[in-house]
Parts: sequence; C-alpha cells; structure tokens
Amino acid sequence: MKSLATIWSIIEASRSMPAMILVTSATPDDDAIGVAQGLVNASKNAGHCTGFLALGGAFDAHAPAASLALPDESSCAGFDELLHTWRATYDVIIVEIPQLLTHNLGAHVARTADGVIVAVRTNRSVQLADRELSALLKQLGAALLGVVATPPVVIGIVGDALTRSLRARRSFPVPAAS
Amino acid sequence: MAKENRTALANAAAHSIRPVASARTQSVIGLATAVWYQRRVAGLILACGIVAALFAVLTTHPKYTATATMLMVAEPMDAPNPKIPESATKPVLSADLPSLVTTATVLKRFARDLGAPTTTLDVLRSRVHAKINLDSSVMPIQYTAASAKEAVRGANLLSDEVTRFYREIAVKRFDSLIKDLTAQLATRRAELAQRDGELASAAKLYPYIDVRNSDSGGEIGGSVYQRLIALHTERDELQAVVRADQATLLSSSALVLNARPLAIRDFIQSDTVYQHLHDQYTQDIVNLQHLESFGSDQYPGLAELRDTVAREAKAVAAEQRKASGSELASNPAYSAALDSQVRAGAQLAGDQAKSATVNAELEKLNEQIGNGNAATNTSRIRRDRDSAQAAYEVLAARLSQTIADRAEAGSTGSVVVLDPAQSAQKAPFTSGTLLGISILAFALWVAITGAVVIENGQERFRDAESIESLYGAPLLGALA
Repeated sequence: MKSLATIWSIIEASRSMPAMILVTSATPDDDAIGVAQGLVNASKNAGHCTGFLALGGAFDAHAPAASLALPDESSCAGFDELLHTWRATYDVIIVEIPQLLTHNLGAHVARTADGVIVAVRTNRSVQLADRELSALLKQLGAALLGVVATPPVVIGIVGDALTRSLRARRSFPVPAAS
Repeated sequence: MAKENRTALANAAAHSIRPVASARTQSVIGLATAVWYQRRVAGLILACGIVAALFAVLTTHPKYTATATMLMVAEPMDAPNPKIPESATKPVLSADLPSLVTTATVLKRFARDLGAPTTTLDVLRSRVHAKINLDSSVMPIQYTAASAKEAVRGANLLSDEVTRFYREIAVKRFDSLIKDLTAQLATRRAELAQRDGELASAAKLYPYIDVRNSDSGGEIGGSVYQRLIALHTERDELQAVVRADQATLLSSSALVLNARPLAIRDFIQSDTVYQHLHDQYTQDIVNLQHLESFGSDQYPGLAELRDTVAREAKAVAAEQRKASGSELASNPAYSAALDSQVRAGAQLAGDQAKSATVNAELEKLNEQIGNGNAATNTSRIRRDRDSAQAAYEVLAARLSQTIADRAEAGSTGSVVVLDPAQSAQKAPFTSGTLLGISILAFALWVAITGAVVIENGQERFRDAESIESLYGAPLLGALA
C-alpha cells in the first residue's frame, strides 16, 4: 500500500512533470474525488502551487483553498478560459471528474490534460463503463499516467455517494477568472 | 515500476481480502458492496416487490378482532400455599388454559357453534389468540374475523365453549370414579344376593339353624343341640301322656263292658214287648217240657207247640239282639261310658300322632347333626354375607362422597367469562399485511441474492494485471 504522497512522488519522477492532471473514474463510486484531493495535498506538501478544479460538482469544503467546483453545464470555452487563467497562477492544476463518460466536459478535459489518472475500486466487478473509459482515453489520445486502486470500503462508497448527492444539489456560479 | 505497482496492488488486494474486523463483518461488507454495485438490478427487483406487496395489502379485506376476558376462579394450586388443602386440586393449571383454548375438542365444538363445522382446525387456530400471565387469573381470548359482528360472536362463543369444556374436565375425573364405584357396588349387590340365596337355601335345608343371628355362645351348631334337647323333652312328655291316655282308654273300656249288661237288663226290664214274649215263651216251653216228660209224644198239638216255642225263642232272641244293639245307646249310663271310651281313644290317637311327629323330627335332627358341616357352612355363609355387606356400605359411602365432589367441582373452581366481547377492533396486521411483508421480505432477499450473484458472476479487479490489462496503463498504487 502506498500513500498518495508516494504516488505523487512517482508522478513527479516521470520524465515530464504534468502541469494539469485529470483524476477521473469509470463509475462515480471509485472515489476519484478522494484521490484528487489527496494528490492536491501531496502536491502542496511537495511545495507546488496547486489549484484544484472539481467538475463533478463534488466539492469538499476542507479541500485546499485554491479549489473551485464547476457545474456540469459549464462550457468548454469557459473551462478553457478558466484553465488558461489558472495555468498562469498555479504550478499544478488538478481537475477531478468523478465519471468521465457522463460529463459534458469529460472528453475535452481528458484531451487537454497533461496527464490522466484513473481511480478504480479494488475487487469490484469490471463493468462496461471501465471498457468504455479505456477505449475513450485511447481514442482521445489522452496521456494516461496510471491507475490508482482505492480500497473497497462499502461504507466509504455509500458515504461518498451521499456526499456527492448533497453537493450536486448545490449550485455554484461559473467562476470568473481570478 | 510496473513490478512495484503490481506488488502494491497485490498488497491492496490482500488488504481488501484480509479480515479487518471479523469474517462476519467482512462478509457483510462484501454483500453490501455487491448490492451497491448492482443497485439498479436490486432496486428493480425491490420495486417490483413493493408493488406486489402494496397490491396484496390493498386487495385484502380488513380483519376485526374481538376480545372476551375469562377469569379462573379459585386459583389455589398454581403456587404452593400452605393454607390451601391438598385436596383442593384444579383440573387445569392457569398456564395451561391457553392451550386448552386451542385444543381440537374445543375448536371442533366452536366450529359447530359457529355453524361452520367444515372449517379446518388450523384456520380456527390462526384466528384464535389466548395468552395468560402467570401472575394473573385473567385470560383474554381474541378472535379475528372478517367482520366486527362475526368477531364478537366468535369470541363469545369460544369463551362459552372453553367454560363448558373446563367444567367437563373438572367433572370427568369424578365420572370415571363414579362409574367404577357403581360397577363395584353392582358386584357387591350380586354377591349379597348370592349370599342371601345361600342362606335361604340353608334355612330350608337346616330349619333348626338360626340363619339370621349368630350362634349362641359362639358355639357352632349350638342351636341345633338346644332344639334336640327340647325335642327329647317333648317326646318324653308325649310318651307319658300316651301312657296316661292308654290307661284312661283301658278304664273306659272296662266301664263300657261293665255297663253293657246292666244296660241290657234295664232295657229288657223296661221293654213290655220283650216281657210279654219272654213270659209267653217261658210258659210255652214249660208246657212243652211237661208234655215231653209225660211221654205224650202222641199228643197231636205237640208239634205245633214245638214250632210255637221255636218261633217264640227266635222272637225273644231278636228282642235281645235289639236290646243289646242300637237300643243300648238310649241308656244314659252306657252312653256316657261309651262316650268316655271314645274320647279316651281319640286322645290316645292324637298323642300318639304327636309322639310320632316328634320322633320323626328327632330322627331327622339326629341325621342332620350327623352331618357336622351344616352349621359350619351356614356360619361361613353368614360371615361372608356380613363382610360383603360391610364392603357394600363402604363403597356406597364413597360413591355418595364422589357424587358430592363431582357436583362441587362442577360448580366451584371453574372458569367463568369475566367480560364478554362487546365490540371488535380492526386488526393492525391482517393476512394481507403479512402477505405484503412476506412479499417485501422475499423481494429483498431476491434483490440481495440477485445482486450478489450478478456481481460475483462478473470479472473483477482482483490484481494488478486485471487493471493494467484493461486500461493499458501501470498501476500507480493502491490506497489503504
């Protein structure tokens, strides 16, 4: 078992340090948000100025200060504009999309990202969404950095699902360039 | 790096498999995980179950429950109480009263009272609910039916039937005893009748034995000897009387013999015809002797005289016979002597007959005394009869007591209806509700089972190879 700090070190040790990393998953239960927030913390601990952009509506209030959640209705142009602004501000930008296949900006973000990390629950069944996500990433030519296995804690699954459900009901304004 | 990642994932997989809390917790977690991943299937199945359950609940008619309260009177024997005598037993304990309500006998009678004798006992048992608290003597009986009126009627009929059956049980114990005692009394009566018959036969066979009372002085056959002595005395007295009668008869006969010539003489002397005939005869015979003495055979009237004398002799003889015959009865002295002789003869004959009777009885008694078992047998029969009589009296007293106890058991210590059912309440759990709950439970079970089956039937992310082969990327790590 590794901590996300170790995983972040592995990512840093790669040939080119990605400036924008997409953390996503095939199903909303694979805890992509947890992986993303952990990576944000690890990046900050490593001394990087890190921005966190949650596109799935799931936003943790305890996440790093430079965090923003975009609703699903966000447009590619708005995202690109925001990304452009953030690239000038942060060394590392971590974008989280809990279910890439169903998100409007999923394909666009995956194509734009410098690296993609997929979160997968250990010991769960392989579903059609996993195959579709794999095929989509290959089709888009996304830079898949690797897969992070999350623990199969059902309580965590249910808890995450409930949290996401609550967060989805919140409405966030489309962030303006800061 | 790939090797490291594979090791990491293997560790993660091992962590996922290794029991964290316990095997049961792990299995529950795995079950919930499978249901969560297959929640759509499980939800669909569960939704179908909910619809079916709602349909069952809504299409089932409501049930009504009525309650009748019963009280067990005279509750002494549930707990040992020194103040209560041991004889104060109850046929049924309070704890067993609910079981009594649902017995086949009570339910059959209850079905008959309801007018539905074809209703099965299981159906009736499902409608009846009776429960009693051990600290209480009050037992509510609930009856559930399709209508409130039927529920009230059923509860009251059932409580009445329980009361009736309880009393039957209470008196049934005594019925068996009464039947047995009655049979024993009949046997004793037959035995007494037999002994009485034997005693009657003995009385006929041994008339000098007192068959009713005990032997005098306790000596077997004592009364026989007393009778024998009395008969001997009576015989001796009769023999003396007979001898006296014989002497009287002899003297009477002598008196008659002596009185007869005198009576004849008195009769002849008082009979003028006889005197005339006798004088004429005497004169004629003198004349005839005179003629014959003078040899005057050639006298012509001699033959006629001889004939006359012969006729006169016959007439005198006839008169004499007449005087010595019936005519003597007219003589008072002779008649008195003759009467005395006749009475003495009759007295002698009577006393001789008595003596003969006594002698015959003596012979018979001597013969019976010769058979020594007569008195012994009679005494044995009498003792058997007395013993049977005593046993009969004991049994009769016991039967009377048992009949009294039966009446007491039937009236006291019974179960009574304390409060008959007046109204019925709508049952919260009807058969439709239970069916709905059952359907829901079944649907839940099918949903969970189906989710687990589907989940387990699919390919899983069990190791690093399965993940890397699917995504075509290395496993960066496995989180704890």
